[in-house]
Amino acid sequence: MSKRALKKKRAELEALLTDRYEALGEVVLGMHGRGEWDDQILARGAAEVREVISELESLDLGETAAVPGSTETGGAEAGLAATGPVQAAEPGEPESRADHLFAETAEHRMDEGDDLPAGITGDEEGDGEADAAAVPSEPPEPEGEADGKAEPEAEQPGDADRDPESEALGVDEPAEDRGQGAPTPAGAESGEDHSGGDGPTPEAGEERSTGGDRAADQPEPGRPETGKTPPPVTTKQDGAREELESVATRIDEREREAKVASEAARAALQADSKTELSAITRSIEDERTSLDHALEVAAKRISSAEQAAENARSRLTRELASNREAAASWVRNQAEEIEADAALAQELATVSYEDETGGLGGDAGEARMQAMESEITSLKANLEAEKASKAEALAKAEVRVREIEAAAREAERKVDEARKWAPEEARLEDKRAREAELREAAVLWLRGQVAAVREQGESGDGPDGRSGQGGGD
Amino acid sequence: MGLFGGSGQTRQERKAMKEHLRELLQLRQEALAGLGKLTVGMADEGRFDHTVLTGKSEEIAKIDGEADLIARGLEEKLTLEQLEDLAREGADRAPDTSS
Repeated sequence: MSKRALKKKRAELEALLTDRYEALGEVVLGMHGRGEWDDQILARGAAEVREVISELESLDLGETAAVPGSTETGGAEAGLAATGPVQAAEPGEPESRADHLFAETAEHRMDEGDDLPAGITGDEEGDGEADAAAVPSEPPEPEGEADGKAEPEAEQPGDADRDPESEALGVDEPAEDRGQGAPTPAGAESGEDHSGGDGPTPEAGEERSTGGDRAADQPEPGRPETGKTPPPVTTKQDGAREELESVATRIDEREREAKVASEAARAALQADSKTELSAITRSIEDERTSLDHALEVAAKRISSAEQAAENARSRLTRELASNREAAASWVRNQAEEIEADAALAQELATVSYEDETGGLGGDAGEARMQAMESEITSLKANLEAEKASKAEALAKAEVRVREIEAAAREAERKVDEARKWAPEEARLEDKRAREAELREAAVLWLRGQVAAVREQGESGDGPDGRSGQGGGD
Repeated sequence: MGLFGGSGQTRQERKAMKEHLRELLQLRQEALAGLGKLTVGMADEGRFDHTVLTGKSEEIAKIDGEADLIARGLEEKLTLEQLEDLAREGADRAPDTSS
C-alpha cells in the first residue's frame, strides 16, 4: 500500500474515532437528559471506541513493520503489511507474514485490492490463496500447526528448488481437484475470519492433497500422452523420454499452478470485493446510525425551538390581550369623563339659565326683574344724591380751604412783619440798658463825689477835699 | 416571520451571531469528544462516575441552550438586546423549572 493510501486510511480512522467519541458523548448526554444511566451501554460504546483505537494502533504498528518487511516478500512489497494487524507477522517469517497480511487485506479494504493487480500478479494472489490453503503446508509455522492439516506434499523433495513464489503456488499443485471446487467464495470467506484454517478451505486442501496423490499416481485424462509412453527401447531413449516426461510434467505443473493461481486470484478478488462490500455496508450502517442520531438531536432541537416559539406566541397573545384590555378600559374612562363633562356642562347651563331667569320662569320672574330694576333705579338715585352731597361738601371744603389758606397767608405776613420789626426793638432795648447802666454809674459817681465833698467839708481840708478820692475815679 | 415584528437586527449583529454560533458548535463537538474520551477512560477503569458525567453533560447542555438561543436570534432576526432579554428570561425561568 502506498504512503498516500496509508495516510488516507489513517485519516479515515481518526475521523471515525472522533465520530465515535462524539457519538459516545451524545449517548452520555442522552442518558443525562433522561436521567437514566446504563453502564452496559456505556461500556459497549467504549468498547466500540476501543476497537477503532486498536485498529488505529495496529495501523501505526503496520506502518512501522512495513518498512523492514518491504524487501523480504512480494506481498510485503505490495504494501499488504500495512493493511492488517501485523502483530503475528514476524520479520523472520516472511511467508507467514505474507499470508496473514493478505488475509487482513482481503478483509479490510478494497484500496489494497487496487494495489493488487498493479503490484501483485497471480503469484502474489496465490499467496492470498495460500493463506486459505497453503498455510498448513508450512509445518514450522504456528498457523499451520494449529490447523493440523499440513500437507506432506508441500515438503516434497521435488519442491526444494522452487523459489518462494512457486513454493506458495506449489501448495496448490493438485489443480484438477482444485478446479472442481476450491476457489469458491466460501474459501475466500475463510480468509475473512483471520483463521486461515476453518471453513471449506482445509477440506479443499485435503482434496488437493488427495488429488495431488492421485495426480502423482495416475495422470489425468486430458493430459498429454507423455505420461503413457511405452517402455523405452534403449536406455538413451528412455533417459531422453524420462527427461522429456519430466519436463512435460513440469510444464503441466506450471500450467496448473498458473491456472490455480489465476483462479485463486479471482477468488481473492471476489473475496476482497465481498469484504470491502461488507466494510462499506458496515460504514454505511455506522453513518446511518450517526445520521439517525443527528436526526434525533435535530428533532429535539426543532421541538425545543417550536416550544420556544409557542411560548413566545402565547406571551405575545397575552400581551396583546392585556394591551387590548388596557385600551378598552382607557376608552371606558374617557367615555365616563366625557359623560361627566357633559353632565357638568348641562348643569352649568341650567344654573346660568336659572341665574338669568332668577331661577323662576314666567310672571314671577318678570316681577322679580321689575323689583330688581326698581331697586337698581333707587340705588342709582341714591348714588346720584350721594354724589351731589359729596360735590357740595367738596365745594364747601374748597371754600374753607381757601379761607384757611388766606388766613394762613395773613398769618404768614404777620409773622414776616413781626420778624421784620423784632431786631430794632432788641437794639433799642440794648441801648436803653446801656444808658441805664451809664446813668446808674454816673449817679454812683456823683454820689461818691457828693459824699467826698461832704466829708471834706466836714473834716475841713480845703476846698479841694478831693485829693484822695479824685485820684481814684 | 419574526415574532417580534420589525427586524432591528443589524448586519454586524447577524455576523457576530453566526460567528458565535459556529464557535459554540465547535465547542460542543469538542466537549462531546471530551465526554466520550472520559467515558472510555472510565470504561477502562471499570467504573463509571455518574457525577462527573453529569457535570460534563450539564456543561454541554448549557452550550446547547446558548446555541439554541443564538439560532433563534438568527432565525427571528432578534437584536442583541432582545437576545439578552430572552437570556435573562431563560435565566429567571430556570430556577422556576428546577423548582
